[in-house]
Amino acid sequence: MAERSGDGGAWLPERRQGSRPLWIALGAASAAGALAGALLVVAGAATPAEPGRGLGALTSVEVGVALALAASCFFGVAAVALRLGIALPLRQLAAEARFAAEAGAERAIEPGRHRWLAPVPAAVAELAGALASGRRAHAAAIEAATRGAAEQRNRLETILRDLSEGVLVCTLDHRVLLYNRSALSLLRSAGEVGLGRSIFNAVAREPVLHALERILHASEPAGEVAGTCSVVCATADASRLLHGRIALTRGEDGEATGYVLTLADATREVEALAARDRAMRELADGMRRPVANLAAAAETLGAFPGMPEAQRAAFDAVVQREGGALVACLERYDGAARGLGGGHWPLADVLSIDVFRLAARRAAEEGGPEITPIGLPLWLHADSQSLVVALARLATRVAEAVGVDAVDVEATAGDASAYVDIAWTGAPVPSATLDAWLAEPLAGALGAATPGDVLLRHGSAAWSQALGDGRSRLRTPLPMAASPAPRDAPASPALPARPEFYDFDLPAAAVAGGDRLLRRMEFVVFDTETTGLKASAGDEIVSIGAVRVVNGRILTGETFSRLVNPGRPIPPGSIRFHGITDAMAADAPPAAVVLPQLRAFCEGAVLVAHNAAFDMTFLRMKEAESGAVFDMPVLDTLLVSAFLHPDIVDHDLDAIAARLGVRIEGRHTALGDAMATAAVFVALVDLLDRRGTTTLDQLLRSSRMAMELRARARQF
Amino acid sequence: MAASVLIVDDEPNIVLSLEFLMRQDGHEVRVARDGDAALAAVAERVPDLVLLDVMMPGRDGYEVCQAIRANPACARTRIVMLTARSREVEREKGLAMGADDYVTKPFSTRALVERVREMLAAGHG
Repeated sequence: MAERSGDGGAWLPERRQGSRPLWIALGAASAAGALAGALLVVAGAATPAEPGRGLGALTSVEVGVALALAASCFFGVAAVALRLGIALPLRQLAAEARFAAEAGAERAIEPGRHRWLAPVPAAVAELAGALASGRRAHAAAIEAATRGAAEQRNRLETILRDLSEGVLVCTLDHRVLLYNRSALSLLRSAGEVGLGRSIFNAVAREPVLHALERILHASEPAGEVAGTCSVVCATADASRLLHGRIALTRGEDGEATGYVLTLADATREVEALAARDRAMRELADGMRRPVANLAAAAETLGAFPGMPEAQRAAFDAVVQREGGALVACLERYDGAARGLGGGHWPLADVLSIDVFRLAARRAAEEGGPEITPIGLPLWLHADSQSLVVALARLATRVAEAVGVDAVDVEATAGDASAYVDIAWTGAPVPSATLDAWLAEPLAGALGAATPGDVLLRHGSAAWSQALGDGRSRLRTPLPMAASPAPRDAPASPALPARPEFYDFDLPAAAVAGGDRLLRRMEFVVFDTETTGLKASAGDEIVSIGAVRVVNGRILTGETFSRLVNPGRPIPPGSIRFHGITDAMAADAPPAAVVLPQLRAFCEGAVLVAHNAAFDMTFLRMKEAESGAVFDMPVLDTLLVSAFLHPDIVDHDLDAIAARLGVRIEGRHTALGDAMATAAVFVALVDLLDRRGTTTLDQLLRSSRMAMELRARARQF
Repeated sequence: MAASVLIVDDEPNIVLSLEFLMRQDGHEVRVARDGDAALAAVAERVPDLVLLDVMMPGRDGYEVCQAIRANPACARTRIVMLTARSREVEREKGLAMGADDYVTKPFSTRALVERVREMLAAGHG
C-alpha cells in the first residue's frame, strides 16, 4: 500500500532502495557474529586437554570476543525488529496520512494493523476522518450557497423576463449588461440591442444623458425617489416614443457603476391624447362662427319684429344655414371622440371565468346568491377588481328583488364588445330600480365608486330585459381584449426561455487590443450561402447568417439572418445545396443593403467563419458598392483546427465537431451553419486556452492567420 | 293617414318643433312633459307612435319604454327614442328596452318626419 504511485509518494520507493543494503549487511553481520560465538563455545567445550578447565577457565580474550559477538548479535536483532515493527510502519502510516490529507480518502488508514505503534494509527485515522467530514461539510455548504444563489437568480430572471416593461441595465459607458424580452421587442426594430453593445444603437442619446446628468448632480430629489429620474425619449430611429425611469446602480463602495432603465411604449397614449386634444380644439373653433352668426341673426330678428318679408327671409336663411353648420360640427366631433375610446382608467386583459369565480366567492361570503358561471371563457379588457365587486353587488340585489337564491352569469362575444349577462328565472328588473342599484356606493371598488361608475369606466351601461320562457337577464356590454397577436410582433425567431440576456462579466472597457483573452471577447460567427464558389467569376451571396458569441456563450437570441438578392440567376446545382430559389431571393434586398446591416451587427466584434477566406472574399468584393468595410480581425475555424492538429487532414466542420465532441444540428442554412461554426469555435477556443494560446494576438501570430487567409483567398 | 302621436319631452324648445311638425303631417298630437304624464296618457288612450326623450326628471325614457312594452295593449305602438345621449351603448340599451328606433339629437327634422311616416305605414300594414 505504501507503494502507490501518488503525487506525494514519488520519494518513497527510492529511499527504501537506498537503505536496504545497509540493513542486509547489518543482518548478515549479526548472523555471522552469532554463528562465530556459537562455534567458539562449542570448540572450547570440545577440547578436553586440561581437566577442570570448562567454561570458567576461558581466557579474557575469548570472553571479550564472545561478549562482543553477543552484543552485536543483540543490537542487530534489535535494529531489525525496530525497523520492521516501528520505522517501516511509521513511514507507511505517514504516507497513508499524507494520502488521506491530499486525496481525502478516509479509509486509507486501518488502525488495527501496526500493533507496535499502538495509539498513533487510531489517532491519525480519527484526524483523517475529521478532515474528510470537514471537507464534506465545506463542499455541502458551498453547494447549498450556490444553489441558493442560483434559485434567486432564476427568480429574478423570471421576473425580468416576464415584465411588461422593458428593462435594460447598462455600464456607465452606456453598454448593455442586461435586457429583457420586452426591451428587446420595444427596441429591436430601432437598432441592434445586444450585450456589450451601446444602448444608443436603439435609444436616442440626449434624453438619457440629460436624465443621468440630473441624477448625478441633483441637489434635491424633488419629490421623486432619490437617485431616479423619469425619462421620456424616442427610439433611435424616432419611430416610437418611450416613457420610463432611470436609476443609478451602485457598487459596494457606493460608487456608481451603471444605470437601470425601465421603458414602456408611450406612443399610443401620447397619440391618443394628442388626438383628443385636437378633436376638442376643432370643436371649439368650428362652433364659434356658426354660433356667432346664428345668435346675431336670432337677436336681430327678435329686436326688429316689423322687418319686411324679403329681409326676414334672408335672416331666416342664415338661421337655417348656421344651424346646419353647428350640427355638422357636432357630428364631426362625435365621430372623432368615439374613435378615441375610453379614458385613462387602468384596464387589463382578464378572463371572464376568473372574474365570475371571484364574484361568486364574494357573493357567497356576503350571504348573497349562488352565482354559477356558464358558457365559454372570454377575454375581457376590464378593471377586474371593481368589476368583481359590482357584479357581486348587482347579482345580490337581483336575487333579493326577484326572490331567487341562484343566478347564472355568462360572457358572450358581440360584434364590438362582449356582453356579460346575469340571468335568472323571474321578471326583469324595472329600469328605475336598476338605476337605484347603480347609484349605491360600493365598498372595495377602486376609487370608492358606484356600480354605475364602474360601468362608466368601461364605457358601459346596464339594462334588464325579459328573455322569454320565464327567464330574464341583466346585461352589460364590456370591452373585449384585443386579439392575442402581439401588437408589435417582429418576425423574429422564438427567443430562448432562459435568455442569454445578461452578462455582468463584460470587460470593464471595450478595449480594442489583441491582448484581451479570447474566451472573454465578443465574436460574430457568420456564414454565407452563395450562387457558386468563384467570387471573381461573378458568383454572388444569396444568404447571410450570423450569431454573436460573448464570453464564450453563443447568444441564440442575438442572430442575424437575411436573404440577399444576388442580381443574377441562381444555378440549380447551388439551389440543391442551400435551397434558395430565384423566387425566394427576388423579394430580398440586394447585398448593398444587407451588408451595411451585417456590418452594424458585427460592430465591436471579431469575425469568425469556417473557411473564412471564402466568405471574406465575397464581403470584400462588395465593399465599394455597399460602403460596408469589414476591417475587423478575422478568424478561420478551419485554420485554427489545422493549427491545433497539424497532423490531421480532415478539417471539415462536421469532422472537427466530431473530434471535439460538439453536437451540430440544422446545417445548410446560413444561420444554421453559423451556429454550428459557433459551437465548434467555442470548443476550439477552449482547447486553445488549455494549450496556452489565450489571447487574440497570440492566436493570430502563432497561426499566422492573416497570411494564411490571404493565401487561400487567391483561389476564390 | 292620421295617427295618434304622443310626444314625451321635458324641453319646451324641442316640443315646439316636434308638435308643429307632427300636426303639419296631419296627426293627432298629445304632449307629455314627464314620464308619469306619459304613462297616464298611454293609459288613457294607446298612441300609434311615441316620440320619447330619455333624459327626463322622475321616470326617465327607458322606464317609460319598458313600461309601455310591458303593456300588452301597446303591442302595436311604435316607440322612437329621441335623445341627446349619443353613446353607442346607450343606443343598444334603448333598442334592448324595446324602442323601435333611436335618434340622437341634433337631428334633421325632415329625416325625422320621414322616419315617422315609414314607421306608421309599417305599423298599419
